[in-house]
Amino acid sequence: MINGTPVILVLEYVVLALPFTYRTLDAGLAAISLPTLVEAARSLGASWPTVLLRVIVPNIRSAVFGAAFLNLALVLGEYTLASILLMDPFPVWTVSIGQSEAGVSVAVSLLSLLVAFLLLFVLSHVAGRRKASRGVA
Amino acid sequence: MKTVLETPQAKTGASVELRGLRREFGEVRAFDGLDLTISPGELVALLGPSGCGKTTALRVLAGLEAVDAGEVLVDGTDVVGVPASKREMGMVFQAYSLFPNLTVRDNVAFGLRLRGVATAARQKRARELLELVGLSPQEKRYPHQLSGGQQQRVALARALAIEPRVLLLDEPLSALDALVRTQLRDEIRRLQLRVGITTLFVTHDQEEALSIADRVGVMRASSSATARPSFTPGPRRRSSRSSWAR
Repeated sequence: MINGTPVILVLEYVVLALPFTYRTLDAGLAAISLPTLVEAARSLGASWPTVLLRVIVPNIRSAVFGAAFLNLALVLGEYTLASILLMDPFPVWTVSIGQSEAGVSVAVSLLSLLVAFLLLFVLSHVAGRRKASRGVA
Repeated sequence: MKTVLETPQAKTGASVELRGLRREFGEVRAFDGLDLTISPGELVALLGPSGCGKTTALRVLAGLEAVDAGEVLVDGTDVVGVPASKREMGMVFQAYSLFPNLTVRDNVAFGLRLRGVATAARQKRARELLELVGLSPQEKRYPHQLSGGQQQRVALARALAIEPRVLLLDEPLSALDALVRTQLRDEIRRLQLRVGITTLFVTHDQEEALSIADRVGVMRASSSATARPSFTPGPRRRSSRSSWAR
């Protein structure tokens, strides 16, 4: 069945990602005056899907990006459960290749560090520019 | 200044009637047997201490609050089952209701965009409304770049942009400082007379209510079962229009 297929990894990652996603989005929502914005949009004629897509999501954009990058970093480093599930994603593969070719293992580890650093840099740049353009004190 | 607001259909305000409204939050009764009639084009202020149910009454009319019993008639039709998004009510909140991600102009045009008005037409309308509230130079700014008074002007323009049947003002001045409050109060009245829109204005400030409204409804804290507002005519009736023209 789903054992041994990537679907099992998706299920695992979803469960792992939930608390991080929840905390990040919750903080994003707390930073805007949500009830008033929703009610203003409703009184202007917005349906519930429109409220979500045109009012809420654009105003918690950096929280959505934050959650996405956080989860990417989480998934990139998740070894234990993937290994137990007998899957072979990036971290598991890095360890197994390290047993025969140590150089390759070191190289991809370094590469993953650089990618993670780059992602965080992009994220903080995006969030920072947004703050600057909004002039949040 | 000629604007779209002076088209005939915008001139005729709707009539509003609240009949025997009851609203309870668990054990707490906001009001029971609330009756209120607003004639077309009239500005009625609801005045009362906090917790007397005046804001709840306004939110019931807006469709943002459910009602346990009673009728809400707009132009003689019961709108109790109609969702807020279909009631065509323009609402101005206490504060911070502008969409932070949109410019002033896009905020005003938001309701028109939802109604499928073409880009050029809705931007033209948004400009006219901003001119009406005296904020044309700020149309490209974002809400956080405006003062509190300016933000409330934009919120007013945004509410009027959809040519609502009724204008609902939920303590729109209470977050502002005294000088701005007086200016904006006079300006709201001037605009309301000009557009001729039926308006419900909720406030806890007696002077504010008396100076802006055609009639003032006073609500008492609802320890008593019935909260029927008692009415006093405002000192400035609609007939004294000329004194507002300046």
